[in-house]
Amino acid sequence: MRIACALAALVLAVPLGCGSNTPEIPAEYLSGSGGTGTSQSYPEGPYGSEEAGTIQNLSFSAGWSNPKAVAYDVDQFDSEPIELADFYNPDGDSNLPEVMLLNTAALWCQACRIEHEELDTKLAEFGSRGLVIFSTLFQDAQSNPAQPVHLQIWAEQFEVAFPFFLDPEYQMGAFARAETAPLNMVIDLRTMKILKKVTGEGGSVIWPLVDETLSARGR
Amino acid sequence: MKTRTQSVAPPVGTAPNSVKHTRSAAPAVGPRRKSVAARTRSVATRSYCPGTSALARTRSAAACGLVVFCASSTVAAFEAGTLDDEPVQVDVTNAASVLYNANNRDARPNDVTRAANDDWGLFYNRLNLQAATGKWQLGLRLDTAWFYTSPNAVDIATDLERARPRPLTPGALSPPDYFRQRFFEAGGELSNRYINWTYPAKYYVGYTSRDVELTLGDFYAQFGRGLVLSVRKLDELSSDITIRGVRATSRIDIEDARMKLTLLGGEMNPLRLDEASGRYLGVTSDVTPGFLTVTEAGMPRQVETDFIPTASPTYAPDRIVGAQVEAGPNQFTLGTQGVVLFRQDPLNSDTVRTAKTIFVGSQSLDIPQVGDFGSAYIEAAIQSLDGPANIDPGHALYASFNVYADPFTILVEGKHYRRFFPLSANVDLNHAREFNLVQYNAPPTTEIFYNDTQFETFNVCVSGGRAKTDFHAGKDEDLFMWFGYYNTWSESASNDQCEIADSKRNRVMDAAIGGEFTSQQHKSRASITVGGRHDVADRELQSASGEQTDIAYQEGYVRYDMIRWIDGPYSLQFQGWHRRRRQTLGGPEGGWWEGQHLTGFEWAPHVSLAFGVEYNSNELFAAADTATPQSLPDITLYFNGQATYRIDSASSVSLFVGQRRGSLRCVGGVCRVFPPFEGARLDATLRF
Repeated sequence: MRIACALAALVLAVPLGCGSNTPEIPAEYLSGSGGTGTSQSYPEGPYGSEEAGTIQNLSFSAGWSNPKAVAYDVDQFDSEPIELADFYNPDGDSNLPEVMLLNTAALWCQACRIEHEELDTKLAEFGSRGLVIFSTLFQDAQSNPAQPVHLQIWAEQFEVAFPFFLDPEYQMGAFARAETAPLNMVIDLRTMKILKKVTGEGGSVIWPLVDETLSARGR
Repeated sequence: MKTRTQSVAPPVGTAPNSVKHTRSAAPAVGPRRKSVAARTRSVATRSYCPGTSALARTRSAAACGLVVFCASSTVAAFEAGTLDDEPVQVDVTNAASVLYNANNRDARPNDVTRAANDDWGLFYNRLNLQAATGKWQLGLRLDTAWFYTSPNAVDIATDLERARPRPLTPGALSPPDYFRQRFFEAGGELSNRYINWTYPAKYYVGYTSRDVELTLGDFYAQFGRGLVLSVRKLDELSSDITIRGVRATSRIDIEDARMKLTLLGGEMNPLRLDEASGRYLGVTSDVTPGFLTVTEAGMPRQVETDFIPTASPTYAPDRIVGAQVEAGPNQFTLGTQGVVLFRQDPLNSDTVRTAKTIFVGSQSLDIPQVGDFGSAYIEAAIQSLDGPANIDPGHALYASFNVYADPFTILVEGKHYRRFFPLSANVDLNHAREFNLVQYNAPPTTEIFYNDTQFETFNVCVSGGRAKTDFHAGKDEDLFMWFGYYNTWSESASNDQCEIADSKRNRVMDAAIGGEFTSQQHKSRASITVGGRHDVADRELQSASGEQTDIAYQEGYVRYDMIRWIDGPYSLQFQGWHRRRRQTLGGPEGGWWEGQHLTGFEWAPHVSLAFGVEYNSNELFAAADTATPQSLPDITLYFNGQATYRIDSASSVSLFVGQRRGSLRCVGGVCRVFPPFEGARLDATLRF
């Protein structure tokens, strides 16, 4: 009797899972440009967010291309948005970077802070061989959108010497959930393809890959 | 066999009609071993199905009512007949939960994940069937997860876009572009979450005689103290891991000596559903070659959706072979054990998951009785990772000694680990981060069980230990104290190679003092612990505001658990843990308060009532009802109430209504946020 009860309850529960939501997209959202950066030559889509996919041309408007050069002054943010297309190097020009480490950070994220402690060392090691590091700060200590003052504090603390921008609307959310910070992606700047995508601590995998990729290109 | 349905929304720009995918999914079977099967719950509820149709509500009520009816019956294991003159004992237990997650007040601007954990409900049933006759045992555990309501991508993206402050800041995405991004993020987020499954979580056939034990199917296993292998159930992490394969154990007694040989092999089988988040681990045919086709039959598969048109696995089953030999006279036991873990292509590119094979082996010595005054255990292990990270082989040494010198009891534990990594499951952390803590070994920490402040990869490169002394002061009074000291080189610095340098070192002291007291013929009792932790780095760390300090973490706390007998079957209980915490890297400025207190009333043996209050002043968890930027409270309070009715010793029904605070737990360089809970949960346990 009791077994029958339990099984009957289960059987009855099963078809209840067949309901569906019926989402309806508000009319005001059924338009839009479909992309962010558009000004320069860039590989055509489709774009992807996983390894081997081509990353879309993201654009960030608040930050510095060279924070150290302007002493981390928030009044001296770049006047123009920076786009991934700015780093696109389809011909493998040896005077330009060929590999990018695209990184995210948040103030609440301990692993991000640990990681940023050694990024300058890695840039010194690989920068002259063709690596560029591009980092974005997206949340403050309360998980609210990061503000210019947070970017300044972070840049001063870690003496950031590579492009460092705010991502207050978390565009990088297309690649990883906020709570998975830090996110690191190794990008091939010849093709803008994602060579490696790592969430969490992954230095032991990322840096050998950067070294290997640059070596394979004679750099 | 059942069908599952997933609703997905169309891409932006197309007609806003829903697209329904209906696919055949897994059949079902499966419980697990006897020791766990005793835990049973069943369920009943009402008013838990908002957002569903009238028909669905009616059927839900019928299902719920049926379970309530079943739960009201008196139950017991039963004999189902005989087989070859042996009685066949059948044990049916059912554990069921119905929970509804309301808005848990963790909203933040632009954050899809936090928006996706509101307003969902789950009916989660675990049916355990066990049968035994003579030397044979059979077991099945069948898990059913039915999400009777869940959020959808359109609502999440719409809510987040409309929560943006107006006018939009310069450089902000246009509303349609912003909506599009959040819509696809939410679609991806929901693609392995809130999906109905019925699957054989665990199953086994066993044969046990005096000398031989054979198991085919799921089994738990531990070698030594867990350095090499430890797969088991961990309720606090919602984890339940078994090996699905074959285990053979043979015992040989030769006069006063004995030997035990264990061989095992198979695939690692973690629980596939995380009931705290509604996310599941899914495989595809790409990661189930060979015998995995059989062991993964009926298990949850990663499904294709409009947002993820090509299904990618979130779990690539790991395979393992292992052996253990334990031998010795009555005075001591020598153990030699080892496992090899075989990986598929990594789903996350960290040091451990990228290793193609991992070998761990150890030698142990267990002396249960050292004269009349103690016991001792020593284990030394090595670990080798074959992967692209090129990590040198690691090693570990663990020892524990118990000394009995009435009225004192002294426990001393020590550890010395170098490049000794957790055997983390091959999980896609980007899409199933809730399963980050799934691992197949458990190196002893030597810390108190409730310690949650070993940050990052604390245990990978560490030396230290803890001594605890108990003083039996009287018939009803016990006092205790402990002191632990650790040097770790992998807590506040990235250090997979375990470089021993001051620039990477943290020195950690952990101490506590307390007592346990009884009165009224042991009907009343109380325990209290006052403790603290002091964790300093050998270099200056910088807080979020730029303050420089060598303090990595500090904490002072008090824990208590008091039961006061009133009269007859009545008693009161007060239980709590109150903490003052400070964390330089990742914590709020100036530290924070966090804690809980529970006041309970017991009417033995049937009824328990409790009222709880929790609080947290960590701004990371400050309450916000909507994703609109707003001033957050300095401290967030959580209130809850619980009632339990015990039908008999094996069956009970309990109801929880209210709020619980969230927490952040970090392991292996990545953290899991356990979100706050707000809603209701009904659990019922039935044994037939």
